[in-house]
Amino acid sequence: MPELAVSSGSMSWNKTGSWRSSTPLHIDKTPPCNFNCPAGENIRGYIDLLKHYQTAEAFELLTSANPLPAVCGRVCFHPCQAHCNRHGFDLAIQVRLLEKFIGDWGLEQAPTKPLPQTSGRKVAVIGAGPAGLAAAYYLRRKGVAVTMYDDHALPGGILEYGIPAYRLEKDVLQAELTRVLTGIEFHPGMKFGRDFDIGALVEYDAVFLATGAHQSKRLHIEGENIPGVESGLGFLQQLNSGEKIDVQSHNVLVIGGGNTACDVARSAYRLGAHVTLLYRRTEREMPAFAEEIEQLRAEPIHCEFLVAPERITRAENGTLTLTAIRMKLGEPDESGRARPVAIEGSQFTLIADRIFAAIGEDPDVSFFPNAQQHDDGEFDFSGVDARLAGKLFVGGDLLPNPRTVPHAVGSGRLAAEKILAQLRGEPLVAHDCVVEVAGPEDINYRYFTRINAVKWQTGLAAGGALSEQSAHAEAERCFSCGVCSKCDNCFNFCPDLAVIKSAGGYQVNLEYCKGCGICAAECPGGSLRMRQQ
Amino acid sequence: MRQVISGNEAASLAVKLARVQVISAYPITPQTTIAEKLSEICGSGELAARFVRVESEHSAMSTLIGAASTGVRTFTATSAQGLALMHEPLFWASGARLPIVMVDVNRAMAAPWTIWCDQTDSVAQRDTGWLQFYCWSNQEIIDTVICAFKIAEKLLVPCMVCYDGFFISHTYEPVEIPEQKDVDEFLPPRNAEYKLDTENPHTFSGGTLPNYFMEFRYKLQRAFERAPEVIARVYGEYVQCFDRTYDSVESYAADDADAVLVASGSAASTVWHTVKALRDQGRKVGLLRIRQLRPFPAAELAAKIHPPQRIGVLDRNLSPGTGGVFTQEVRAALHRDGHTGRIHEFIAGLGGRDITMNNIIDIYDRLEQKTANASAINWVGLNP
Amino acid sequence: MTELTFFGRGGQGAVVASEILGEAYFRDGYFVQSFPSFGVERRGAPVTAFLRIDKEFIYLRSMIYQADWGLVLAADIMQAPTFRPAVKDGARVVVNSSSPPVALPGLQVAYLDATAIAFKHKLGSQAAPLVNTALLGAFARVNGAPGLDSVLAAVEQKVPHNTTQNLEAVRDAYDSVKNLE
Repeated sequence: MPELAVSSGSMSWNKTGSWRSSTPLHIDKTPPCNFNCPAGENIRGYIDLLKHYQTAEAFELLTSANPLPAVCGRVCFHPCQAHCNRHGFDLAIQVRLLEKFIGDWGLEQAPTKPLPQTSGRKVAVIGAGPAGLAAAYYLRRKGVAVTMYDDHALPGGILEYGIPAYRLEKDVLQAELTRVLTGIEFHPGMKFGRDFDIGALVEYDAVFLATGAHQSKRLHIEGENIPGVESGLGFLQQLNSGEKIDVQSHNVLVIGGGNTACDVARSAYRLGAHVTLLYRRTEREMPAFAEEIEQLRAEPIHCEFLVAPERITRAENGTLTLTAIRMKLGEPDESGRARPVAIEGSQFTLIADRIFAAIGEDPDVSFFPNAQQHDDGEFDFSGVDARLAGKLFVGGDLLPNPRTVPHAVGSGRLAAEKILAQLRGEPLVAHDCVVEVAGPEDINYRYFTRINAVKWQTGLAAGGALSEQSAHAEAERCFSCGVCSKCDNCFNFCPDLAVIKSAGGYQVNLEYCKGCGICAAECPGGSLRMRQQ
Repeated sequence: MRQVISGNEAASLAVKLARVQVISAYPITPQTTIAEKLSEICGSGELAARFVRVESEHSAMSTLIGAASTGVRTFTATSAQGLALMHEPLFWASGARLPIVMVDVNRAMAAPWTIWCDQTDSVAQRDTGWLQFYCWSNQEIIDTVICAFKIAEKLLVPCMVCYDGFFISHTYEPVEIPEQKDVDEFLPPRNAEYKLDTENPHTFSGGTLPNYFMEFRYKLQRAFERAPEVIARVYGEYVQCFDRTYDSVESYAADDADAVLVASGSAASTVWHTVKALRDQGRKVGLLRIRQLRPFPAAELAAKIHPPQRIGVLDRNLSPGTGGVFTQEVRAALHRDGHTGRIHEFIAGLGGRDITMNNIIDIYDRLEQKTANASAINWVGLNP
Repeated sequence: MTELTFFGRGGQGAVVASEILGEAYFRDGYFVQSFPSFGVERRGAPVTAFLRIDKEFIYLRSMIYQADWGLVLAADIMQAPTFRPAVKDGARVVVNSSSPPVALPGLQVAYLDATAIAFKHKLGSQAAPLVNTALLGAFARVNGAPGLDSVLAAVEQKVPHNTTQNLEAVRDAYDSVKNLE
């Protein structure tokens, strides 16, 4: 023995792998942002590229799922942020701003890529809203010739005619639409069922129908058809079409609690009106996006909650009188929200110059008089015409999905994939596989430093748009949930030096891994787990 | 009530039964489960004591020095490097005559790195002015810790209760647990004559000139000289209440033995077991178990040795350059008593090396066959 | 005096098993002494724990080098070269094994699938099932002592978490242990 306790050889003889009863496994879990994105974006992926200042690659990746990043960076409700594992820790990753940053980069700097030659396959897309645009975009990029019809003069659907310009600048929309529509034959002013019919569609290999939901729901009260009582969506369409609407100093009542109602109220306010919004439940139950409600409440718009309209009358001088009744919340209804119940004798009146009803919209499918509609709202067009048998695909608001832009985009891309698979004569690879989502329980929060959320958010939002530097700084905060971030923790913490760095990440030397699980416990993003042998 | 508990649980229970008021401890293997248990029972309110969390053993002892100065009953526990870190305030505690009670769970001193048992940590503190007891069973721990408070408070001398790491601390065996009301009767609340009191301010242990310092040391020495009598009296009271008692030196089959082994701690227990087995074979061997290192029970030991017995001392510690500390003490004590026989020194069990029956039989063989070296260390179980 | 050695891996509960069985014997009127092998606590590393039982107080405080009984929490440990010398010739063994284990010369072996019992009662995790209480039920059956009631009472006293499931595991093991032919 030496004079002191000094090692004289290696411990490699001690094959501690024989002790193991479980093995560490690097696995990829789906991050909650990706999982909750209705458009199916790889959010974690493009944020990772932003971490490396690879904006062009981030744009490529983002537009591989959503051709409208500049638009969605402005109008999407971003469920990715609500489900972000940083939400509640300090501040959710501001995906909205990052998407906007990438989208705007694309408008200014994305190189024009040559489109593939068309292969002879032809698809008709009816409706140039976000669903139709997405379907057309992906089909064209796979060499399919696309002909697009829309009853409006301009493409964009709800983006052009529904969403007010203060939420989505017209130049941004136009620029993005220009890129998306490159190589696509667009026929404006063509309403299906009025200007063309099934006969015109027979020559196509497939038809994608995404005509949206533009028919305002009726109030079903006395006086809803008298002059001065109008549809909220119609008001937005007029406004977006450039019509002059004079509501300066008018008393305007908006009935409804959804996004359209909010847009109408906020637009009317911007035109100088005194606006009162009436909603039959409370603010908490409003179906509009949280952000939209927050912005609405920040503006001098008066809101009357727990109020339902009963009757509208018009005086000789044109003044409208709305009789409304106070409500209270009762038991939850089938939507899970508390059902409003009228309080007997609580009627009161409001005076207005104009009243906009915005309690929801329905699709208008009168072009297929024999279309069926299921209880869940889904249309069944399978039997409408033998000439379209097996060729008709639908998307956007014709599906029983939430009526949002990203849902429409997602449905358009999925339809494109289905059409392409059909054109190739292949079955579509199933999308509904079981995925494991990396939740907060997978995150080792001790490895991350809390920031001052308010200060950080204020700093980011300064100027309204991110610089490359601030986008990088924001991306750097991303946990990269569920994927190996190459942080070296497993390598550093392994007491048996059994984790080996390899080109793709890490490998485990099973001769020495004794299955202690320290690597999995110290993995910050939850991409390591122990599996029983 | 009898329960199967570990040595560290026995120590913790004794602290609870003694109604200690301030505890400060820093965890270190093998003491850790005491710190855990005590913080738990302080947290739950089972024991109405303040548990002061600290960043080191030096701070733990310093905290208790402050607390004990106010007249309350105090406790800490540590091991090995933790005890060494306390070395400096240990002197303060005894010089300030504070009856702090501490458990040292014996662990060898690193380097090389070790968590296992030997007594080098506590024997190295023998000059700090603390009483030192060495226990060999969990029952003895609970009894000794309770008595230690009474002894310390009577003598105004701090007291260390030592027992072997793992071999005792982590071993579960049946223990008779005293009833709280009986302990309350045996051990009344501390009644400090001198204490920090804002209503009646005094300076404690302030700068002391050469014309007084020596007298304070003399008084401390006098306290240690009084200790055997006080200790005997306390154990005398204890046996009245609990029907169990202990001697500073305990003899097992030693009176008529030809070969006597002096031992302490868990090793003495295995020696007892071996002596019983060898006696069954007709061999005249015996054990003298030493329970105290300070004050060293010199007279009691000398009285129990009957020349021409062959004497061996089993040391589970080492003072490099000299040998085993108990051997030195035994030699000094017997020499003072006029004993002229050879004292054979056996070093065993350092750093957790097991001390087996075979090791002890080997020691008795060497004592009986006169093959043990009388002028050098006899190493037991060494692989040189 | 009877000496028992528990053979397991860090995290399986060998040390606690020795304490529980000691408690059970104590309830049956024995003196007991249980202690771990004082190793460095490493999850997955081989761990041993010891138990002595006698009618008198036990003074012997060294480790157990050749046990009368081997209680084996992981079957592969029985095949390690260090196992056979650690028990006496003629020693009896209870091993956690899903299939009949390979016989070793000079040993009387009983086996049970304690891992399956642990999974059934959700004891421990998938990666580290707690098989210790099941093994004790099996031991009580093949040895005839301590009494099943004493084992159950000891488990109830020493296992504060999932107590009911552990009691079930003891009973299942008591009923399912088999002697190796």
